[in-house]
Amino acid sequence: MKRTDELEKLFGDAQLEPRPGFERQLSGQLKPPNEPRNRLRFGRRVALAGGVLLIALALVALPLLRPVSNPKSPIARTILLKNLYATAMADNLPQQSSATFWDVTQTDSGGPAMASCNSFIQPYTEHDLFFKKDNITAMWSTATNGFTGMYYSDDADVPAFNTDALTTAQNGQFSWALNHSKLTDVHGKPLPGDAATAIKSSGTYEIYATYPTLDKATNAPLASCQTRIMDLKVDAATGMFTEADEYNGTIAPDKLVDSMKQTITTATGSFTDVEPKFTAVGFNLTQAKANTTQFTAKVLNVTGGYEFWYHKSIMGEPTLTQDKNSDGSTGVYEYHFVKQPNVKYRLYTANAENQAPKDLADLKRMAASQNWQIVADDTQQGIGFPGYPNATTELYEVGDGATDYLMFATGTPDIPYVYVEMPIDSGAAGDINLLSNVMLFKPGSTPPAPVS
Amino acid sequence: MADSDLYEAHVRTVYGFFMSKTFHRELAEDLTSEVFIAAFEQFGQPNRTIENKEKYLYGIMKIVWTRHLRIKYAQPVDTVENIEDFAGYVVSELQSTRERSLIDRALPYIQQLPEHQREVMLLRFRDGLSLREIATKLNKDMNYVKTTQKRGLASLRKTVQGEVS
Repeated sequence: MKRTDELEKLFGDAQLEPRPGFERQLSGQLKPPNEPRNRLRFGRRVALAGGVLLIALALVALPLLRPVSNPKSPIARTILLKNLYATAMADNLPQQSSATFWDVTQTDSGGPAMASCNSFIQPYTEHDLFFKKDNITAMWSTATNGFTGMYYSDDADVPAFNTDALTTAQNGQFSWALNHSKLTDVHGKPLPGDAATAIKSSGTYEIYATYPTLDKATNAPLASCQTRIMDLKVDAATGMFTEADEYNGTIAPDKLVDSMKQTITTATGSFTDVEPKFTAVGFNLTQAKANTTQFTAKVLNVTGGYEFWYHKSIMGEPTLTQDKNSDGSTGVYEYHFVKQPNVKYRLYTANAENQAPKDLADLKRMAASQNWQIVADDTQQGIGFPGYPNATTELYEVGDGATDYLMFATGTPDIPYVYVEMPIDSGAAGDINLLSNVMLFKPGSTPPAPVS
Repeated sequence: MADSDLYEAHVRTVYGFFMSKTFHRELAEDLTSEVFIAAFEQFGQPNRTIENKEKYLYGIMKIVWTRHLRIKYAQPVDTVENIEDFAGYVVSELQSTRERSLIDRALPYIQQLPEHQREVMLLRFRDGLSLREIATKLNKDMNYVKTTQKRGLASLRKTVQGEVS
């Protein structure tokens, strides 16, 4: 037997082919109702298929309901404005410097419209409200990914949303499209390099752009859907997009992939001024405040080989001190937090010399001698961290009624122990996240992505 | 294209993709079944015309795969959801798997084995050492290496196949 025969059985090309029995069985299952069916033993999957059908129906039906746009004059509305276009590409909502409120609606009716195009863009409508003024931030969103729900904060250190969103307009797909596009005339023909520009100080510019439909993952053109024409409406005073959609008046339908439209309205004033706009869509201030406290912040130390997350709203800013060994190497990375000065968060290196307790056994001895109550003692085998996927970890937590003491034996060679002392009245006691959300990796290396 | 022809044309690609991502036969069969059953139920609806059944099929496949990832990993799967040409992605991923060596396909699963099994398996299959060379390198006897390799392979089978072939 060859050395690799066993691997061949598990991972060989033959494994990528379905068993003939499965093919026949499924083929029988798929016969029309008036033909005999072979019922499969995939009961769970068949039941789930009902839910898929509903989703699939919606995905396919919506593009069919898309209205045809009104024909547009192909010449009169073509405006050449490269510098404003470049400004627009920056996607710069904050140019509305006085704005404190943004109401963003984006719809994509899905696609494709051409039979030979395999692209399948899911139709969606996303509605986001943002408020930002001084320390107060608020957000409400229907987005299905990322920021979903409602958040409110009056703490500048813990904003209700990543305010970078205001520079990317919560619109990754739109920004991506623009960054791959070039100006065209209304027919989709690229403009000459010396195309004239005209500047206006008011009103709306309409710009046409075309770009190849690229695969976002590979940045390579797709096999079939090669061209997409976009019609941009840009506010002359601010450079802000007010509308963007496909122009399909003169472009053949088989060039279109989907239709996307974004509208943004803004307002100024205090949160009280715009709060009715939030409540009108279901925003609940109490819930939004509570949601925001769940936000965490990350500390990353590439040199030390760790990162961890903590509740910034509870803990405040961290400060790091390093306890040095006798040879000058770092023994302990210790963090204190401005809002919880009595909390100690330590990451021990393998050669840590001066800490107490010094390891898990030491803490267990201390707990036994003091008769502390065990809160948790949990061993996990073979889960570990992305950097050490097979590490066996042990989380041990004891309490004396006033303080909790937690030791996390990580099973890794460089940071073998993480230790935390938390006064119970700190509001952070029992916050297992402070420990379970530590990630370790080889010191000096790029943090690996979470296992997926 | 008749529905049966569509099935014949794509069942191996659909299955191959799921298998290349999971190397778990039962799971790949379940996911494949789910895709085709859901699509064909719609194809068979009276008074309903689906102009591009192939696109429809891969649209459902994308939903099924995305939902599987979401349930399995309980986290957003933006990367997959944002793939516009899912059919192209499926073909590309499958081809990519076919072009990878056996050890490259197996490595993510070997890395999940217990420490001793992983150590022996890597020396044996990644580094190409003989059993005797491994024993020498680890300062163990041959029985240890054989037993550990056997356990490692059994663990791999249990992990990736759901059945012992």
